[in-house]
Amino acid sequence: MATYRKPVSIINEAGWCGGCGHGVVQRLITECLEELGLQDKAVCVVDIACSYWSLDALDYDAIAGPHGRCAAVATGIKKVRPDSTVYVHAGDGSSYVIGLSETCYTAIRDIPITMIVVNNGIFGMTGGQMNLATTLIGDKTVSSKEGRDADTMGHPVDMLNIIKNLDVEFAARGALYDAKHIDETKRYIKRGFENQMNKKGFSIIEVLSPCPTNWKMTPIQAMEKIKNENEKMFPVGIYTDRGGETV
Amino acid sequence: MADIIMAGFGGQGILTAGKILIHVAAGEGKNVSWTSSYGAEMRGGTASCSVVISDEEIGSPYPAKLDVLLAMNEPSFDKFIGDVRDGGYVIVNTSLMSKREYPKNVQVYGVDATDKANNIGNNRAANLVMLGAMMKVTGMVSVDKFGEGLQDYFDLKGHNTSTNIECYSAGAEDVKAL
Amino acid sequence: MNTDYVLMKGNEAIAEGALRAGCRFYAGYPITPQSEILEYMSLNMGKRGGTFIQGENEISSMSMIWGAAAAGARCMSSSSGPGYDLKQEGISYLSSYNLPAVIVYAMRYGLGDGEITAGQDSYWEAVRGGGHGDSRQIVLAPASVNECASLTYEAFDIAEKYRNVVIILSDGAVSQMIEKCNLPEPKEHDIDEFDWVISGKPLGTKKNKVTNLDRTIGYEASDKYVLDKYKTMFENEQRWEEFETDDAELVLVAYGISSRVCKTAVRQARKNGIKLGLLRPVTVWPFPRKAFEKMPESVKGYVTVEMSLSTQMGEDVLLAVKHSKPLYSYLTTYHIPTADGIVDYCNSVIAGDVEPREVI
Repeated sequence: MATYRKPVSIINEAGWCGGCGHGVVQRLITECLEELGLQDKAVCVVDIACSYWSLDALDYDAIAGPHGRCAAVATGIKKVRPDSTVYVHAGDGSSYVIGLSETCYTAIRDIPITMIVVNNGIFGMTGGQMNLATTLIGDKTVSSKEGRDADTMGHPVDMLNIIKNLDVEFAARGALYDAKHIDETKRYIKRGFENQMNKKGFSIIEVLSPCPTNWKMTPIQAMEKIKNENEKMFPVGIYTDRGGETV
Repeated sequence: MADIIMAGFGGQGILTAGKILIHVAAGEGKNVSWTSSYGAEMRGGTASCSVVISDEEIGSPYPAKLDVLLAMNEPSFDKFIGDVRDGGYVIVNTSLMSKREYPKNVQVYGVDATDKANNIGNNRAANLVMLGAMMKVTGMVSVDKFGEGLQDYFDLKGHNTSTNIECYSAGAEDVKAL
Repeated sequence: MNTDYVLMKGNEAIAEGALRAGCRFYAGYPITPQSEILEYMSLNMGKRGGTFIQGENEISSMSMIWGAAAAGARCMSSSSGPGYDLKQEGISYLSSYNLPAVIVYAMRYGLGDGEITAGQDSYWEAVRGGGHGDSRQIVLAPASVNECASLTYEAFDIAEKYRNVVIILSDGAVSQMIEKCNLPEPKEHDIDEFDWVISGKPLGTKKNKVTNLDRTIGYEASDKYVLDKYKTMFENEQRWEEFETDDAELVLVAYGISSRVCKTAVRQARKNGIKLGLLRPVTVWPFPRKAFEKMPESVKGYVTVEMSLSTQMGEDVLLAVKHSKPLYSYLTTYHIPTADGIVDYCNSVIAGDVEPREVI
């Protein structure tokens, strides 16, 4: 049964914009850790981008990875502290664009961390530029003002379709546009932490998340866009599950 | 005290010959250094290593004037012969040298190292034939004592064979002044 | 007679020195002339209970170091030339939170791809580097295989003492040569020794936030901490070796492989009555300015011997002597200097045939 108590791990306010999905993701992470009793061994790796706010918001030891390098930073920590619960909270620019190599090789090495990637289709912190991996064709950003054009900018890519072939423990995508999907996303994140608790391999959970500020939309319009457009390109669900259990 | 260059083409065991030499010399209480050519220097087919053996602290590990040149093929001989000091020793692998005149200011000795090693059945041990010749000629370490050190080197590596010492001894026996 | 030696390459001695210092995390990427460090670690790190990772590139390797150092491990990476450029990002991060780590730079010569053989033309990068922002790294320059082991061993203590990155500045010659080496005693490091580590701690207890130090303690406190630290390092850590300087008229200044040749040159020159001496910086940052303060009155000038195109270390000599003595530089680019070449150059200096170096 879901809890409505605010997680005690959240001790400071974060500076995310109104309607941003990062805060929901942070809340789901902390709820999962507390429900699993892992809050006292959590080490949080954030990126130098929007997820950075979580560094001070939580009562966890935390480290900011160089932009894009979170999976590598988490690898270093987990190898030194195998009993700690090491997780990454980063964006899609970090994890799939500049840090594509780090993300993929951490997956290939099957490092037993839990990686949560916020897919909001944009570079939020730097003011809303196009994301090569996740901005949809036709979406307008400050660096694709006429809309993303495949001829000059290529197509977005479903990274989970690639990562699922790297023999990882668990790869799944959730969304935040309604309570049902938030619940589903939470189950995926929890599974990622359970895998780490049970000394299993690399788990990645991507979350389709709104960025109303840079999408120049109201929060409700942003949720509608995810449901009607982004999810078509990036379907939710489990992409691979080595344990083979249902979530 | 000796400044030495050992040279040949890749695969002749030049670098190993140098490592055996410093292994034995270090065991005798000497200071030693070993440096090898690598990368761009090596393009063109000549592999070489410089060995310095000294009772003193070793300054430059790259000798300018050589007391000993061990040349396992003709290009190596041509490349380094000018660096040998007057009266220095030169040991050449006559299996791979053309008929030629040798300079008079140095003491040149030769042994059919490649042929010897092949005949003994260890075609990778021409370098050991050369070492045998070198010890016999220079007296740097006695032939027997160096032979023991050589065996020790391969024992430590875990891949000694009886033909190693056979090749080495053949070099000591058959080396001739040229 | 010393029988406790092993014969090993400089690179291997660096790796073994690190392992014996309790280094239990290494991540790196192959590049000549330092790859033996990575290879040695791949074979031996696991036997000591540590982690070896061959990274997908230098940047990610340094990010792993950033994580491992923050988690409390003694950790090391190594590279050369273009690979070291990529490590600079990580060095800047390590410096931003004042994390200790040891990074090896085995210099190769040239710009871009350059040569894979020895050079000393990355002096500026090693000594003035550290990536973006304003930071200092202690830079130790071994000149023998023995020092490769002993300085690397000690580097971890120095790094922790100051919470600072320490660079081992080797070159393709020192890294690749084999000599006798006396290895230091193995020791272990406790990853919970320091209170700044991230480990996962109970709610309500003090947590560490590993990011720019100023974000935690404020700019004022952070700036003071850092400047005080650099000043202390500068005062305390200058190291050098003097050879025949007591009555020298011309003092050679050289580190690493060049200093070895200089020693031979000094001996050679003195046989012919030329009073050369050698001042060998062991730390190139902090540059051993104290050594220059103590040089005798007899010294008429300094000659740096550097495997570079420009006078690099010579700048530091001019700062050290406050431009009070002329500076000359014998620069040999990708050639290992020869003792004859050095002595000839010094003879020309003494004869007045060489103009002092202008530093531009």
